[in-house]
Formats: sequence, C-alpha cells, structure tokens
Amino acid sequence: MSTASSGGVSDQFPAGLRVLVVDDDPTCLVILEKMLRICLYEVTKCNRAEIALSLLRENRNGYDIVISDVHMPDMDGFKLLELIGLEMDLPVIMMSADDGKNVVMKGVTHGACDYLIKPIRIEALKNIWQHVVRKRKNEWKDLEQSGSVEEGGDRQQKQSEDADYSSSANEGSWKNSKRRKDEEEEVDERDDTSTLKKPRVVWSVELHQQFVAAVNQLGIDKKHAMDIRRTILGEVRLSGVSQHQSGMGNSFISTQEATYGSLSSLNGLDLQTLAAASQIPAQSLATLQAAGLGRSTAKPRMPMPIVDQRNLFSFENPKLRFGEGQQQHLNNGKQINLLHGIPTTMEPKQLANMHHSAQSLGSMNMQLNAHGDQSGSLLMQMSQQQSRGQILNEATSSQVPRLPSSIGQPIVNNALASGVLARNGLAESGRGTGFNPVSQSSSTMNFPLNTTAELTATSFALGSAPGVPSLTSKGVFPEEINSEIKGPGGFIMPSYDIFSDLQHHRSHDWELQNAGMTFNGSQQTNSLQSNVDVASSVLAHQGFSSSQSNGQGRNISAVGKPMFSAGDATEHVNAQSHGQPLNNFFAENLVRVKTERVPDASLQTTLFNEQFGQEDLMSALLKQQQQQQAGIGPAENEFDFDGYSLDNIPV
Amino acid sequence: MASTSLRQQLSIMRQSLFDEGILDHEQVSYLETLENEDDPDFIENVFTLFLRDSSRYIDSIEKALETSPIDYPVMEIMMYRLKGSSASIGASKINGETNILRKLFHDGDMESGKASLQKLKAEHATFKEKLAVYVGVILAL
Repeated sequence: MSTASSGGVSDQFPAGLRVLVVDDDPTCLVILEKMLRICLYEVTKCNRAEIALSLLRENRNGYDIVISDVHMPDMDGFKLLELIGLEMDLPVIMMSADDGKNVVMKGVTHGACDYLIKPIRIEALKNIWQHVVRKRKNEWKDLEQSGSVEEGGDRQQKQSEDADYSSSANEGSWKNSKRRKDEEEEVDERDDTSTLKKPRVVWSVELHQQFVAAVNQLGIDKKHAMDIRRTILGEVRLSGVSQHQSGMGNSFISTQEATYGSLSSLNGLDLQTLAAASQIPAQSLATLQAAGLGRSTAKPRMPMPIVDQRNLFSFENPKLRFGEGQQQHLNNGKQINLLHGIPTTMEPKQLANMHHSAQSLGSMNMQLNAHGDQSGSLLMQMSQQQSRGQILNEATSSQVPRLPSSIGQPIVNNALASGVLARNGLAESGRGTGFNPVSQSSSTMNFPLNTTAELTATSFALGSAPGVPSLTSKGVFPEEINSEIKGPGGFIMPSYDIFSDLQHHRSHDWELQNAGMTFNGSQQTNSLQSNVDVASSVLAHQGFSSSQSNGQGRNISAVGKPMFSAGDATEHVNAQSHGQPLNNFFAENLVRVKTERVPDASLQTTLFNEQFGQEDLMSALLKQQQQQQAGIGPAENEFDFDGYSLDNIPV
Repeated sequence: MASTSLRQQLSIMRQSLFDEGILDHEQVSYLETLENEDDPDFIENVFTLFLRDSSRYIDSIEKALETSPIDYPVMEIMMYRLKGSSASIGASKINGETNILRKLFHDGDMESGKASLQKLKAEHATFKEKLAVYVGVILAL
C-alpha cells in the first residue's frame, strides 16, 4: 500500500494504478471516481458496459484493473466480467448495492477477484492494487513454469521494443517510454499468461547455491553479494533466453559475470579473482570485464553501443548490450546489458530501459527459475534489498511489487530494474524468504542500492504509466463524452425539471423554510430560495459536468449548461426582484465552475505533457484528434466554452 | 452578513437533516472528507446528481408498475440503482424505503408494494426539497 512515508517506490505505488470504473448510476460513479482519485489512482469512468469493453479493447494495456457494477442496463455485469477475463485478463472487481449471498457467489464463480458492497468506502478501494499484483504474480509463475525459450524470446522481443522507447528517450520521454514499457510489460504479462511467454529470471536453488558458493569463495561481503545478485537478476532476465538456451550453468555464469562486471565498475572488485573463485570461464570473465568497464561509463539511459555490448557476453546471444541506465553504479550497464542481452531480438535501445530490464529480469527469472522456489525467494530478497537500499527505506521489503507509478524521475532504468526485481521477487516469492546467506545482509546491501535507490524510488514505472493513463483517460474522453454528451441533452432536461420542481415547491418551500428553518430574514430567505432554484439548476449542470470530466475540463457541458439555466433562472428570479443578487450569485457560480476547471485542466495538461513520449505522444495526438472529432477539442485545454460563460449571463 | 449566518444556517440545516433521519450522519461526513481543494463542490455535485437521478428512478419504477404486464426487469434495475445511490449518498430514509419496496416486490406482494412506493415517493419529495435548500445554502457560501 502506498504510504506517506519516505519517498520512493513504495510511496508511489500503488499510485498511478489505472482503474476503469463502470457504473450506470451517476451518483455512485462520481463518488467512486472521487475516492479513487484520492487513492492516487488514474481513473477512467464510464457508464456503459459496452463502452467499457471498447475502451479496454482498444487499449489493452491501458488499464490495470476494472471495477464494475453488477446491474447494468446494456449488459449484465457478470457477462462483462467474463469477457474482460477472457479477452484482457484483467482483474475485475464487482460491486453492488446487493449483498445477497447469491450475487456474491455469482461474482466469485464468474471470476471476479473481489466484490464490494455499496456504499463503498475508500478503505476498500485502497487495497485493490493487491489484485493487480496478485494476478501478475500468478502470471509470472505460470510463465516460469512453462519456461519455454521461445516465449522468452518473444517476450524479450517485446521488451526490446519497449526498451527502444525508453532508451532512446530523454528524461521526459524516458519516463514516457518507461511507462509505456511498463504498460507493455503489463500487457505482455497478461498476454504472456496465455502464451506462457514471460521470460523471467528465476533464481533457482541451484543458481543460488552456486552463487553463494562463489560469494563465499571470493570473500565478497554480503552487501556486494546482494548487489551482484541483483545485477544477475536484472541481467539474467535480459539474457534469460539465451541463457536458457545455453543451459542453466551458463546463464548463471553469465549473470555472475554481469554481476561481477557491475561490481567491478562499482567496487573495483577483481573480476579475475571472482572469476577464478567461481570458476567462471575466462571468456566470460573477459566479457564481464569488458562489460563492466564499458558500463561504468555508460550511465544514463542511453544504451551503450550495441556493438561493444554485444561482445561483452559470451553467451549464445551475442547481443548483450549493457544498457545503461539502470543503476548508475553497479547495475548501470550491467543489468541493463544483461537485460538487453536477450538473445534474439534485443535491440540496443531496449536494453537501456528499465522497463526492459524489468522484463529481462522477468525472462531471466524464467530462465533461472526452472528450478523453482528459492529463486523466488532470492528475488524477493533482492528486491527487498533493493527496496531497502532505495530511498524507500520502508519496512515494506515484503511488499516488493511496487508497481511504479511512473511519475518517477528519469532514473527509470535503475528503478525499473529494482522495481522489476521487486516485481519478480514478488512473483517468485510465493516461496517465502528462504534465502538466507545472502539476504541477511539486507542492511548492508543498501550501499550499492543507494545509487539505485534513487532510481528505484523514482521509477515505479513498472506497473502502470500514469502518463498513459491520462492518455487513456483522454482517449476515453471521446467515448465518455459521447456517452455523456447525451447527458447534456438529457441533462438539461432534468435540471429544468428540478428547477420547475423547485418552482412548484417554491411556495411550499417557502412555507417550509419560514416555518422550519431559521433563516434570518425573509429577504435572505428569498435570496436563498432563488438561489436554491438557480443553484439547483446550476448544480445539476455542474454536477453533471463534474461527473463527466476527469478533471480534464469536461466541464464543457457544465459551462454551457449553466448558461442556459442561468438565463432561465435569472428570469425567474428576476420575477422575485432578486435579479441582481441572483445574477451575481450565478455569475459567481459560473466562475467557480470555470475556476474549478482550470486547475484540473492545467494539471492535466502538465501531466499530459510530461508523460508524452514517443508512443505516448502519438497516442495523445490520436486521442486529441478523436476528441476534436468528437467536438470536444483538445483534452488538455479548457474548452472554448469558456468563452461563453460569463459573458452571456443576462444581467 | 451572508457568510457567517449562512454557515450557521447550513450547520443547522445539516444537523436537522441528520436528526430527521433524512441523511445519514456517518455517510455524509464521510463524503465530506472526500472533498478537497481540487473539487470544492463535490458534495453539492453529488447531491444534485442524486436528486436528479433518484427522481428518474422513482418515475421509472412507477411507470414500470403501471405497464401491463408489469415490467419487472426495469423495476428491479431501478430499485437496485436507487438503493445503491441512496446508500452511497447517505439518504437513509430513501434507502430504507427502497429496501422495503424491493422486498415486497420480490415477495410478490404487489399491493403492499404499491403502497410502499407511494411512501417512497413522499419521502423522496421531502428529501428533494430539503436537499435542494441545503445545496443552495452551500452554494451560496
């Protein structure tokens, strides 16, 4: 759970979790959205199951979790649940005003991962991230077990692609890329579940034993050992496939080499000594050294020259590229390199990215983990270590899967790697924390981790990309707008109804007010009365628009609407000879509406911009186009309705 | 003038709504905690939404009852939504009446159900009036 404690991954996650909420009751939808926003999730809301499905279909990895009501007009909630499970394999939470056992049971049998009863409290929502993590973890497990090379290769290919984005990006785009990668990674994971394609580094028992032996032989202190392990995991992931091909032993060595390499860059360990001690083949050692050296220079996210990196490892896959980025010191090149080293399809760029690393880790896990549990433990340990080392410093080492919220800072790679490790660790860790010798040194591990700490802390990107979510939202915008746009048409009506209702009740209310309420004076009461009428209309509009907008300035309708009602209200009120105060009141309201929108819009704009990366930009642009086509206009800008509002208020 | 006395009025109104059981103190307080600077009109918006939608739902229920044959599916959905939204917003009396209504219809007791519906409508009308005023005061602040 995200905590308010020290910054870092744990703080961020589960912030940025991309939630799709489906409920046809506007009141509940608004309240839910509000609560989810407070949880720092990225919220997309829609009121129709069909819309939800199309949103999900067009952006498969745009969401982490879906919350849906059971009873919906156009489609049964359970049917939606089934479809989502089949097509996108996202965790789905059902909610209902109905707490009958039968309904809940139905949710369970249809595969809902949770069932919430209305009224929903924010506490229930704060924990929904666990379902995302759990699902991923299970997917990883599946992948590990399947452990096919091809899958790993495919996956790495995807990862490579992701890496392209992230590595080529600079900070801003890096973030975006990272997010994308995270998303893709998520998607991959989801897809992989079905295809069993998740290469993950599995820290098998065997590997661990070898590792420990090596460590002991070399006399590496625990701290370094943990670093090494981390690197291995990061890198193994990358080169998982190749390693797999070459056999566990090789992979182990590779990773070790990588690790050593990193170590050397970091601590100046004597590779040769290490190699000798651990009986690393000279060739590997050389590679390591080269890698290590190469890496130390390679800091940032820029992928190291592929060529050099390729040669670094003597794996079957010559393409290990030392990615940079992940961790400036140790893992910098190493992990990334390994990650990039993914045998077949890795491309240099991809290496660099944490996202990539993360994936690599995953693949490595798979590779290594042919054997099972302990690897998981190891990973967990490692990830924990990382967590500790990182800024996080939270006692959340057990939390591991901090799906980064991607708002992080540039250091994505490292963070990503850490995050990945964490993730992997989590995934693997079903096993428990059996890793002992090395893990004990968690505290000492902090050292090298520190460097990565920043990265890690910042890079939550593994999980979801907040940037993307916003895009998503925006993307959704058209649909939502469309569906909600009907609202305006319909909306106006209701508000007028309310208004007329109020009017009807006016005299009645009047009496009520005079009798029952302790308003100060008749005049005030009058004002209130008129204000009430107007306010209701305005509110209705505002409410409507508010519910529609995700802070994006969807208030268009709101702004527009009040205008109408303002006119009516004003006239009506004028009859009461309170025209002026009413107008002021109304004007204030409009201003308020506008004002409210502004911060949101600007905020969104900011987020939007920050998050743009190559892909993101494309998506965003597309979405903007969609929006424009939908007649909404650029999402992040205030709608032109602004032009209207106050000017048209009749005075 | 306005601000303080309005606030007082608001506070009094609020309390009276609680005392009369029209609004659930706990739920409303909870909703109020959700409000923040980014969205200062959250409560008003939510109430207004509910006022609008609940009217719709009740009308739909009534219409469904009047059709022949009775449109049970629609009624069911509307009652369900009313139950959910009234619970979410803390409209306790409406929520209670809705539950009664649902039970009666589920039991097949149409006569009692119809009577209960009338009671629900009355509760709702009261609710609407009071809430409209309440919201108005909030907005006037």
